[in-house]
Amino acid sequence: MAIRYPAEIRCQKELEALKLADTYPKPQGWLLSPRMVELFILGSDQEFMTEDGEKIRIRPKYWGDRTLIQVAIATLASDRGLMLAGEPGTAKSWLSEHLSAAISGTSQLIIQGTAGTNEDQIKYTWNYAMLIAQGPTPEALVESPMMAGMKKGQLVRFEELTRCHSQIQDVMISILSEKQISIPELNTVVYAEKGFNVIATANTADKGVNEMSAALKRRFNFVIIPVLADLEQEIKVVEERTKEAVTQLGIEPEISPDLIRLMTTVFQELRRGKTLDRQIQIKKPSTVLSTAELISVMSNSALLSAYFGEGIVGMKEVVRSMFGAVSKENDADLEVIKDYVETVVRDRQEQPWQEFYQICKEQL
Amino acid sequence: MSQIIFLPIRHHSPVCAFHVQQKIREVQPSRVLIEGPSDANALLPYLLEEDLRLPVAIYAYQTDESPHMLYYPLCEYSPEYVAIQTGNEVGAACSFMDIPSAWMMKARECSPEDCEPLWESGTSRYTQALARQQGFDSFEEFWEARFEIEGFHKTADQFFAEIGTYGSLIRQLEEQDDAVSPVTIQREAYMVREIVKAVREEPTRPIVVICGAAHLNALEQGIQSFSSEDELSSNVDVPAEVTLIPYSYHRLSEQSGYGAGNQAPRFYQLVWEAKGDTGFVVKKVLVEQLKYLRRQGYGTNLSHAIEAGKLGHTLALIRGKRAPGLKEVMDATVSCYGEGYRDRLLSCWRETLIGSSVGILPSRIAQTPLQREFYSHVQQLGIPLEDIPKSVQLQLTQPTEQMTSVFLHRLRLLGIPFGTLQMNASVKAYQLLTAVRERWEVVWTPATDAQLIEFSAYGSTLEEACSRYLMKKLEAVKQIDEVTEILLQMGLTQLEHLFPQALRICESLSSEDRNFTALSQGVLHVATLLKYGTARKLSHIELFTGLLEKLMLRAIWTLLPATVVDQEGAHEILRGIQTLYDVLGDSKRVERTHFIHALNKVIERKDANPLIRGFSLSLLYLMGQVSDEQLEITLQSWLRTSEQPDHMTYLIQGLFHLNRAYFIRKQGLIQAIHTFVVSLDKDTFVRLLPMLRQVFSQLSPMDGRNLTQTLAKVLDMDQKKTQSLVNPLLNRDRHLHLDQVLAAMAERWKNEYGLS
Repeated sequence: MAIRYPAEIRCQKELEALKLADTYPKPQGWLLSPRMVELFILGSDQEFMTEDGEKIRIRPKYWGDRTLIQVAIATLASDRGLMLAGEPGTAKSWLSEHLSAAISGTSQLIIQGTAGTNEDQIKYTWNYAMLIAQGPTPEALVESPMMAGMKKGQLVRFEELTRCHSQIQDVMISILSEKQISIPELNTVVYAEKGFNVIATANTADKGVNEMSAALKRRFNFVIIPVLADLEQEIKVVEERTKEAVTQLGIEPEISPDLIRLMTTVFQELRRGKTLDRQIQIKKPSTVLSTAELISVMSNSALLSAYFGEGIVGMKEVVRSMFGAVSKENDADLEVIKDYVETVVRDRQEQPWQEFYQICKEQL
Repeated sequence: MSQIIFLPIRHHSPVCAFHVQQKIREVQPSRVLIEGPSDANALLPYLLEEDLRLPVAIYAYQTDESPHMLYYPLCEYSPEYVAIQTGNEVGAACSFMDIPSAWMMKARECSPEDCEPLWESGTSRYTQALARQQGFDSFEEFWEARFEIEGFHKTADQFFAEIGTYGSLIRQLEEQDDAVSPVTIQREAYMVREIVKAVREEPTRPIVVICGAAHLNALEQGIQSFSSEDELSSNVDVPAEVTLIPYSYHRLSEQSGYGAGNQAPRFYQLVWEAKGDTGFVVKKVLVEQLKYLRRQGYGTNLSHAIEAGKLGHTLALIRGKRAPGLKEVMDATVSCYGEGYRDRLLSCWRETLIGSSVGILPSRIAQTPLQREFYSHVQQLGIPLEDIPKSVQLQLTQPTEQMTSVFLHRLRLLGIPFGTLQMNASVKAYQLLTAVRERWEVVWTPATDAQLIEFSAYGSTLEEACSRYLMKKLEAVKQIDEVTEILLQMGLTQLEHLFPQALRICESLSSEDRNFTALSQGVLHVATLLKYGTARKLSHIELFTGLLEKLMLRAIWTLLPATVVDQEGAHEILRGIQTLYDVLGDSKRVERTHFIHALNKVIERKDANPLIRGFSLSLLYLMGQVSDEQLEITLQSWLRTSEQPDHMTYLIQGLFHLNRAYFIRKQGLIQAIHTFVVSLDKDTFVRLLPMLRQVFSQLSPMDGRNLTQTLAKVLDMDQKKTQSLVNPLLNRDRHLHLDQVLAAMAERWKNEYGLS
């Protein structure tokens, strides 16, 4: 059993049901129409039928402004690439994965951008043993995910594009403009089939996005995925995603909704640098307290309670996980938490805030 | 029986205006009745003038002192305006049929803030709920998709039937919640009566009625059930006037909180001009935005515009729209021009989608003299007239710019919203007269005209209005500094013809006023006027020379009793003394002698506030009345003989207030202070430490070195050693660190001892 299956497998029934119900026009090469892709991403209360006659609802994969999703989908139907940018933990890769799964049926054509990414990883490379033995032949060619996507007319995901060196990034310019990769060794050109496009992601907390060349930026439409500002929305996301994460880990601990609400409030206040009622200013930690981080904290707490506790996620587990998350980049951020606890939490008389305060004091 | 043809509309809607135009041309009615204040019917001819430039607003205001007012905006694509134009074209008699504005103002009892938007809001919770139910995020999006874009492809009858259905649905929901206001019911009853009256006057020819869609059912039913000639009872006796004033796109836009406006007046103006071809308008606007962004230094080019256009079309398809509209423009430009950042486009959208046009009234309209003068000056002086803030820098040495300054100050004096003087919060009013440069931010709003109209009661020119206004203020003053402040305002607004009258009041008050602070402020104001008045080309300045002398002598005379005051009041007295000192300077005026005499009395007076005593001593030293030796002896004597150490620290503070840099080099003074400090017991020292810190804190590096030199001599120590001891004390970061340590200690004690 795999630790994690890609979206097209996890959401297979949903995709199947949507395909069956899809009567809208589809761009060439797409498995679903844009409207159904939107529905897949945003979810729906409406019931859909699978091939076996099972009725299912489409769970939301993204909570936030519908406009962003519509722009993303509309971009993928055009000949411009889609750049999903935002702070770490804002679900860029998650969204990229699900869009690819819905549109192309696969989210596995991935190029991971790193400082070591080279041109071969983007275009193609060779099986050197065969190359030496036979010379350059199609059999000796090792396609990159980009080439595979172009041939099959599918979406290719380029994660953290801006982590690559600028010269490597600029390889994408000709791919996105000309939609072809030439293979001089074989005297041939691979042309992109309809349905091909690129979803790139970039982290705005790094300086990377600013270093994209103007020519490369022009090949993308940008969508900035914001940090969730709405408390209720973020609570919903955390509840759903934590449940998914712990189910995948094979455990089913009890997590109280009050605890999730408390932790979401804590994260939001630290992120904003002020209390939700805007009355008190707070120092912000240097680490990014994203929704993904919060989900990770809750999932970790669930693991702690399942394996070392009674199966009910308690305040101790949550606080311990939170401190770990906060101080992972900078110990001084623990002082920020201390300040927050003494300045804000202490005066909140109701539970579970008082319990949170006591446990934090003990831990700190 | 004449046929009544109802044309339900949404206000400021191009598609509604389009179909109103079509229908009136088709029907050729004898009368066109329009939802609008019936007391504004006299203004209708002006709306047909050729030199009228929209947007304008019918402005209703009360002519008593109450602040109530109402605006009824009109733009080129307001169905009401188009109805008036088209009605005139086909020879129909047009009139407004709603309750008079005075009734409305009384009925709503609105304050100026509530009265800005008059037409019913198209964005109530009912309309928002309807939009969400139809799958749209906002009512504006729903309206654009279902009516503005689709509506141009329907016949007038189909369109009005649909909008009538929409309006009826909204009204039903409101009625279910009992949310229909009494004012609305009164208005509808009035409108029914007007319609019936029109029918009786024109029994054979069609009558067209233009009304908000939500009123449709009520009016139709009202006409069916109308049976009597009962007058609508109204005890309204509100003196009110209506007139036309310019309006602006910005005001019209939703962003200004205008409930029945639309988000992007300029965009919809273009839609109106393109007869509903939003696809064309989108392309046009994208190119305009491209050019705007390029002027701002962004690297946008035609390929961005092409991609934005394509994205807009695709978004429209995904959203089930026939063509892209406003939302698609905005979403596409965020992604293609703004790299995902909406903030980068806000100013671009303001210019290209909202627009900054301000309407122009026809020349024939009876503007008030103040309005005429305002617009004439603005044009002559080249002052920007837009509904977005613009910066104006003035060099007051230039005659034209000085005229502009006077003009803006006059408006500012009357509180007419137009120019805001940009200055630091610390700048005092009298300092305005000393400025050679001014920076203003000017922005026209409908309130500008509204206030100009209001102040017409004060005079027919700005000069007259300001004069009356200032004279009224003068009549109410009680203290001399209030009068002298008005003198300054007269200076800034070049109303020097009022100086003689103001002088008489000053003379009278100055004889009676015993308040030192007020008198010293008066001295400051009058001295400023004398010093800078000629630069401002003010005449009659010489009249105030005698007044200055009188005020100074009066202030000096009231100084001694004023020094018996607590610490809170002492600082104000200190400032007053400093003012007199600054004004007197090195002059050989007779007042100087009296001032010196008064200061001597202050330092002798034991019950005078110690801060003031110390300060007085330092002034006498600076004026050459006390030698170095005498200064040291006096301080030593004070410090030795006093029983109240707190007082002594204030004395020291006062002494060092003005001339610290010089006094810290005086060995005798530092010696005296050192002896005093060393003599204190620990508890007293700790108590006095904050006050002593005030005197010696925030020294510049040079002052710090000077102090250590002096201290080294006093302590008979090596200067370098003293420096190494003192330097850390002067280090600000060290202070902050010490503060944090102390705070942590205090927190621990609090917890240990359970203190709150």
